[in-house]
Amino acid sequence: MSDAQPDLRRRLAHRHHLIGWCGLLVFLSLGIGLETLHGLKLGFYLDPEHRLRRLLWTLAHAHGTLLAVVNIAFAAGLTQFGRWNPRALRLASILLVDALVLLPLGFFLGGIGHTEVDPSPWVLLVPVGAAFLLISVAMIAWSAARPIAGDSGPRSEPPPGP
Amino acid sequence: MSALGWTLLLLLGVALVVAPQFGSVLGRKRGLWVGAAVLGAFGGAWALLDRSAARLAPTSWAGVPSSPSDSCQKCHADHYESWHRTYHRTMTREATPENVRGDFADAVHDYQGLRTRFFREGDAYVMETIDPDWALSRARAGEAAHSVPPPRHARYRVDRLVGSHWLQECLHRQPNGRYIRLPVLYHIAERRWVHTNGAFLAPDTDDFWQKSRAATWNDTCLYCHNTGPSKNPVRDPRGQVSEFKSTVAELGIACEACHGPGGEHVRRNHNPARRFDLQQSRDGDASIVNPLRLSVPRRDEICARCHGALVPRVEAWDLVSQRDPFVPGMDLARINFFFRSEAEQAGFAKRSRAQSDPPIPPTPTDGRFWGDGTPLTTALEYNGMALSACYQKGQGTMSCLSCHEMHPGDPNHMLTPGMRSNEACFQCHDSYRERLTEHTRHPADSPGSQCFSCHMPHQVYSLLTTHRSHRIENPTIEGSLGTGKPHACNLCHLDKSLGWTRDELARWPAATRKRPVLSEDEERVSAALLWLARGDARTRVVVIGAFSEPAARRAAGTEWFGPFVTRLLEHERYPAVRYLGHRALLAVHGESRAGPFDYLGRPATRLEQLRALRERFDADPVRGRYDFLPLTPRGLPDEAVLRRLLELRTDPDLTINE
Repeated sequence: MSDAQPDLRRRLAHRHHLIGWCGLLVFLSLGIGLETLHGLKLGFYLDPEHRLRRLLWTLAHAHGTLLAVVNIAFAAGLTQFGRWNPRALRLASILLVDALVLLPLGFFLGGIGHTEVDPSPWVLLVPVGAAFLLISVAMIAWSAARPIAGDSGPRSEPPPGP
Repeated sequence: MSALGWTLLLLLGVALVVAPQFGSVLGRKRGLWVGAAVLGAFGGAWALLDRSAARLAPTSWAGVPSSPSDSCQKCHADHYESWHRTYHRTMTREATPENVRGDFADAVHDYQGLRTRFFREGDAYVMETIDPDWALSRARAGEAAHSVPPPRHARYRVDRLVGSHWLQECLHRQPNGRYIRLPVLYHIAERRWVHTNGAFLAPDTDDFWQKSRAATWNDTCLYCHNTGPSKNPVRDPRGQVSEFKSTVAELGIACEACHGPGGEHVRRNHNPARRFDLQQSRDGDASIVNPLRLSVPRRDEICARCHGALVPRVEAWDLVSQRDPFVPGMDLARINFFFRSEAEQAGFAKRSRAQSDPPIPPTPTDGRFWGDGTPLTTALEYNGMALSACYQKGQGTMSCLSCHEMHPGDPNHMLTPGMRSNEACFQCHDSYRERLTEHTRHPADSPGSQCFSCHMPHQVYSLLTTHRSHRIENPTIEGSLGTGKPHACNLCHLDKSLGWTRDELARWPAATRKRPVLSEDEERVSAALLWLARGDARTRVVVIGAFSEPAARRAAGTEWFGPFVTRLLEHERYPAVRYLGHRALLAVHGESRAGPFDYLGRPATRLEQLRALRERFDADPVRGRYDFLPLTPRGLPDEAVLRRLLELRTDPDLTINE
């Protein structure tokens, strides 16, 4: 099986690195926003009847932040570890980015127009994002279990030149 | 939009975004297939869930299983929490440390020299009190009480409790499943043990077990103080009840009392597609009763089941299980008769009366209704409201929920926030907002300008206190003549006569031109004093309760309370009246001046205590001008007038059937 081109890996690593840090910026900002809502004791977030909104927005913050870190970790390892088919690599990359968008977005929008019992229908984005994440993580795990093509184990130091 | 519609729309949106991405990776055709497969799997699963969701109401509520309130908490956490705070929830509880309010640390209660002890035995709560057989022989002995052997005591384990707000009754479970009410209960507000004879309106008695001998929880309390009750009496071959296998869906008044059996609702709503569908349709869930979606009569009948005067229609009940067939939303009158006097109640119970028969008015000793049909005790609030012009002419505008709420309200009276003010009435009578004092003729910030002071006065007694009448009406002199019901005006203007009230009311534009003819005493003597001296115990307990009200103290002055109340209490044979009389003195003078006095003490002790109080109050004679109080020139009560009025007292033995 052929391995992905090093330049494809570098390109995707750069993309995930960028998206990951941007994601962190967005979702950490959301976290600060939520803390501000606590600080200002705003009813639409803290009133008992909005318990579900509070939970969902917290989940949006937590999932977004975590997935942003996962994207950065993927970028960091991509050029060094795992054996990838180029098509599979591009698919895993797309799914990971989609998951970063869909999961927190589903949670966040689910907290708008919710009832006492259930989130709003936007929460249906969450299972779709979760499925994408699962597939992507499975593919990364599968590739990580295999060495990069031509890599036959730990290299010894090259002999000193003449 | 339906849940399925939402799902398809969302999936379509996702597909539009990810399809080009998949296409670029997998190739157009393969990407399309993979995308379609993933999204189709989601859409299909959701469609299957949606299709399996039942939407119609259960065909028969009788077959719907019950579901405990804890199962509601998972989805309705806020409603569960607000209900959890209420005294409805804790109306009946097992006797466990978190529920027991009484003092069982070896406390002792003495009633007329008869001792009751309260203590723990391991985990059990125990009441050691007078043996019921001894109490009976003592009561039967009458004047020959000296020949009765010394009191025998019996130990009862306290198994169950009724009440958690005002009073807490202790129940003992007999081996045959019968729960009996023990003769001493705990007065939560006063933090003291009280004999049942003092807790309920009844005259002093020699029979220690009089109020508890026939009090069986399975017969009475079971139905209104619990959810989903079934009496399940077991009869012996002679047809006598030998055992009870009574069951409840839940002790206390839980979710299902107002929302009906919830088993089907819980089962169906495990399906998320169904919940989303309901959320989008906003039609409400037919698998559970939402009182707000019912018509006003059906909605109010949920409350009326326990806050109304009812006798079961035996033909509508299963006479074997005697399970209450009512499910919220049902026409309550299909399974019960509404009664308006105890005479009617007896007629319905004996099946000698039909709902269409002409009304039988309350007698002068009726324990639930004043002579004009106004309820005089609690748990009849629906009857009071139904008699009100506001309800009858409101054409469905007014309901119990106009002022009360079961969830966000104050657990104390379950009032909707804001409904402790005139806003309650302004909901319909908004025009009075601008011309309040013109209508009330009282200063705007005074209790006299609060609608309910005059239209819902404290004419109801139970639980050792008075409560607002739920018959919303204009106070009239005729309503208080011959009915026993004290007049609203004179429950604040305690120092004024009924004649004064009549003349004042004549100034109101809506007043009738008729000038009721009153007796000389009614013209000249304070109505409150007349009722306290001459009235029966029902009237006396309501009037003496008014003396504690801040509005009455402000309107009538308080310097005359002590001399008059101590004199009248000397002749009082109803402990509840003595309790409220002393409570009024404490409210005005505090314990240092108005104590000690034990309303349940032995007669000689009580008399001694009252005389001491009287001397203390007489030392500070009344100085103000009170045109309708019989005062001597020295500012003391005119004993001759009081004696004359007391001789006119109508004082049959009666009780208020709380």
